[in-house]
Amino acid sequence: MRKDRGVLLFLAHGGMELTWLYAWANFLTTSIVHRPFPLPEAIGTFLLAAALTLILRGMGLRVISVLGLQVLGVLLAASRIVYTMQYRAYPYFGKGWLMEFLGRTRDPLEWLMLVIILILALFFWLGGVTLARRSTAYFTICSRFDLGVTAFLCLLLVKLLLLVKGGIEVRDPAPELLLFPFFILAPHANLWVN
Amino acid sequence: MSSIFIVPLIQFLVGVLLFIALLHGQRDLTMLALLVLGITIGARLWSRLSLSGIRCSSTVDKHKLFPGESLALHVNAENAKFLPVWVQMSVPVEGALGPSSGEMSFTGECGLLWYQQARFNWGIVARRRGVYRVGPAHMKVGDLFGFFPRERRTEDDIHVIVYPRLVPLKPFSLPRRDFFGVPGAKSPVHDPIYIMGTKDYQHCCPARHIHWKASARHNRLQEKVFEPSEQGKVLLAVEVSRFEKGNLSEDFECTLEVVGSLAVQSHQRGYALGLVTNGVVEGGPSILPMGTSPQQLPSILEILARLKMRANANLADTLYRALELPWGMSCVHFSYGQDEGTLASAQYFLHKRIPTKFMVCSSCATCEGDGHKLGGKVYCLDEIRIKEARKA
Repeated sequence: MRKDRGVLLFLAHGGMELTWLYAWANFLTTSIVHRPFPLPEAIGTFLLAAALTLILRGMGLRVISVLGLQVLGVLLAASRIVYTMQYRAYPYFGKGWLMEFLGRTRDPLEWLMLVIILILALFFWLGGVTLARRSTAYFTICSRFDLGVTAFLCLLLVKLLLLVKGGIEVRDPAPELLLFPFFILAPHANLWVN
Repeated sequence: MSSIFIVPLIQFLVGVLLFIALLHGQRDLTMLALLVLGITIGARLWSRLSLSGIRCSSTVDKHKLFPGESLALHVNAENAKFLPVWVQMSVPVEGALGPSSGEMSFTGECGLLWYQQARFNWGIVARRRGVYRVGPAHMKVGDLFGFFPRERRTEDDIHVIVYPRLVPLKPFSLPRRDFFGVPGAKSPVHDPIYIMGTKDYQHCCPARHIHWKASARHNRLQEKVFEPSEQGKVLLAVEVSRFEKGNLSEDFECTLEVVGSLAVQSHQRGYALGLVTNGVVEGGPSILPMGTSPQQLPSILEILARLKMRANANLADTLYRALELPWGMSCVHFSYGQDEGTLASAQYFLHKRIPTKFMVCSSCATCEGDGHKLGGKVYCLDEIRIKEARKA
């Protein structure tokens, strides 16, 4: 029972984090790269990071080994996100997209896009790592709830400012879709607090 | 405070945002502001209903223990209604009871679904002698976010008695006054009054010890087995005044450890035990008459656990006033040093012809000189206590 509660708490807590993180990531990529951030890859990166951290924590490995595995995980997740966003035409397990990615000359805007995608991939990875390491005490959950609501508020305010002051409308349905899951998962996270 | 969104100022700002969002036709922002405000109002209403049907009970697996031992505290919370609630449970624990390893405090939270129970388990370690109160459990119950908790204090508090630490003692003989010298089976003289049982007759034994009725019943000769000619009776007297005057709490604890250990040792030898003290015993008697019942030792240890370093009378007065002393009793008197109170008690024991040994807490140098004044041998605690190597 206690283990089940732990799993449910982990899922609810993780879901809360993922909603506002994805809302921001999708807003940034939609407004700058003009492509939505891939949701399955975002969830996969987040969960892989959390799972890897949880598994490695109990194994008693050397710091350098843990660091190496984490870097490997980040590279894998980032490669998948970059592939999904830019090289969908090639098969993922082929050399083609990798040769294209490494050999291609980019203008500054393309470099900026790549850097933003990689930073967002890193954010999702770090989000997963910190989720696995964070305490699941009641006040921690509450502070994450506050952070999530504030993140949503800031995102929507930025969208409003862009529209009112700059006349730029970012067509990004993610915040609207993710608000409800966030507010449904938040009380569940509190319900399963141990 | 569990969230910043229940602060009135923040709620006002969210209200302003709602107004701006409505003004600019921003559906997302309107929805978010409405959700935040709706949740705070809903949580407030939810919280009002949360306390009904909540039950709580606390138990411990043992009420009496020695320092260093641990007990398990279980607190059950039950939600006997359909509305799920958030529960935070905290149990105040007095004094020298602390959480066992891995825990920082006796506080826990959980959510309770409809008709669900939760059990909070904590380990408590006793560090010092005394009587401590565990609880009553303090509950906070509220909406699922825990934004507006309502408090309830349960009635049931638990008292935990921590006995004095038992220390190893060197072999220590008590002064005795017996009719037949060495008591028990070793004695060459048997007390013919108290028959303990029978055994098969040995031909080396006198014929007058044959139990004829038992022999007839068993159809073979049975001889009587006698009780010891005289049972040892030990009165433990604890003089508290000097400890109180000097505020010598550590010495007082050491003394009580030796008293408790001597009581256990004497009980194991089959002695009858009694205790008298002039200290304040909270919730218990300051005099325990001599007795041999199985409850005698726990009673003595409990009095020692409850004993405060606060004198309420002169020990000699207490002895004169309240104690009935059986014949053949020995006494071990514990005090910090040799003062007027100790001399008065010594006079009393001398008058009653009770062989007494005096245990003092102060150094041996002071014991030797004034021993004759007390009419008995004066020992330092260090002389009978085996010093344990301190754990690293």
